[in-house]
Amino acid sequence: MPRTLSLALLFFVLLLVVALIPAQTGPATFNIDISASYQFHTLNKPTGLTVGQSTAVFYIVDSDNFVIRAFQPSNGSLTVVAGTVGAAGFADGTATSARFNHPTGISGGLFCIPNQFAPPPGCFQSTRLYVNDTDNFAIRYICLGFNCPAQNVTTVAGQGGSPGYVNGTNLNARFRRIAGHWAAGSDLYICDAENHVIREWDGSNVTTFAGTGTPGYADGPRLSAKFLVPIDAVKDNNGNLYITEGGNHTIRKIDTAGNVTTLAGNGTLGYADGTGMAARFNRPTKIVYRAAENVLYVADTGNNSIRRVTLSGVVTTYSGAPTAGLTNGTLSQARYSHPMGLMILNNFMYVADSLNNVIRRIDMVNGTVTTYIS
Amino acid sequence: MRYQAYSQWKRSALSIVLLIAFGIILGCSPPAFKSGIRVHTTEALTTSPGASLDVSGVTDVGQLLLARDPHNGSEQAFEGLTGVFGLDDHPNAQTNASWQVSVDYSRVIFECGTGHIVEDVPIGGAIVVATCFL
Repeated sequence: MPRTLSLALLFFVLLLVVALIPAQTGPATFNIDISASYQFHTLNKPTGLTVGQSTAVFYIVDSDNFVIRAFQPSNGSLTVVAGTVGAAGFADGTATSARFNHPTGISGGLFCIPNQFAPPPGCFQSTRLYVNDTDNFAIRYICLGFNCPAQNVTTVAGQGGSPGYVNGTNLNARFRRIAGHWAAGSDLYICDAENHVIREWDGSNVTTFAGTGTPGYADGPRLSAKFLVPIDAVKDNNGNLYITEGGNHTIRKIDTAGNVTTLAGNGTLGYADGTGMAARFNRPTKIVYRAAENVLYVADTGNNSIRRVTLSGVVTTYSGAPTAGLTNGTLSQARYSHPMGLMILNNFMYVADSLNNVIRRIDMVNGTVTTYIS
Repeated sequence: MRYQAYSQWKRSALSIVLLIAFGIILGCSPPAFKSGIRVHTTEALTTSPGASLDVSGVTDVGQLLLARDPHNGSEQAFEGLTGVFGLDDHPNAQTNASWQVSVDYSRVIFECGTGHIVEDVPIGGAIVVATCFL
């Protein structure tokens, strides 16, 4: 019994000693995060951004320069991949001979095309892009690299210099100013802004997916609903399609049953956070879906800000404010001037800040905004 | 007899190989942190999360702002360049103190520019990891 007691006492004393000894502190770790900033002074109203399966290259729509550019972060190079700077027009052809006229939206990127003769990992790299060439009333396709035709740029739907509203096969279809599109493979949802409809191209035919062709604001079944200047589209993981409307200043939702409802905004221009129809936008343009958060981010162009919209319609200002500017800093300190393009990749949001002629980068973890490409 | 000699030769060869391997491992590993402040400069592609590369030749500057007791080390300022493994050690930098540490990548990656932090370095020292996101 005394032995057990002694052991218990010893154990208690040891415990006390351990508790009283100050903890040996190892080195602390602190981080300095720096965002690289590339200066070219060459962009002229960038409006769109995309990255493909291979994230090594971004593609930028340099709208007022009439070209598509590629930016490679690994070596900081910015090159023209299609079109010629300052030369507007409508021409299919090689990358340099092709002409665009105020392209705005872009999808696709750099892909690895499987091939049995390719070195590991068994594929050849190829750039495949769809561009909505707004003032040419057409969808253009850019193919560069492996398995591409000599004619790198082709028109796949619509016809340059020939606006209209016609459904039909590829080049027989007519559009009137395409403001944006969302691609699922070769199936494109096309925002035909000045026909006030959403069109669908399945690779061979163009049909009307939603809207009547008459401008207006009406929810309901997709082919009787009315839109006013639809700008961009995106689908969520459940197959619902969301549309930004520049004319009605709203975010509309087309569910999988084909019903159109208003997710946020009420047809009146303004700036207000809130839920559903209490929120206000001013010409919302690019819309992206972030699966990791199950939310939408919208470039609220006229409000010079990035808005965050939950799928239940709760709208908050993510970054920026209605006052235009070019200020870096925290999300709320940052100022933009007509942000039009958005792209999210690995917790970084890239913003085509169109009237500042720069690409901004938002570190979505740290909440800091920097000028990435100027 | 021949077998014994062969066995001895085999053992010696194995020892040499092991020694070389050990040497390579030691030579290719960054030195362990000892004390004070270590500055580690890296670069990372935001397009490839998790992958970062050490960058050497980056200027690092430290300035003690507020000292406390007890402490280790006595240096109240430092200036240097990161070397192999992107490291610059300042083992005698005073700890248990508030420091401003700055890095300047301009010499090696112009686009990265500069960055700094102000932090309380505990008595056990600190590792400051600077990352330039390309």
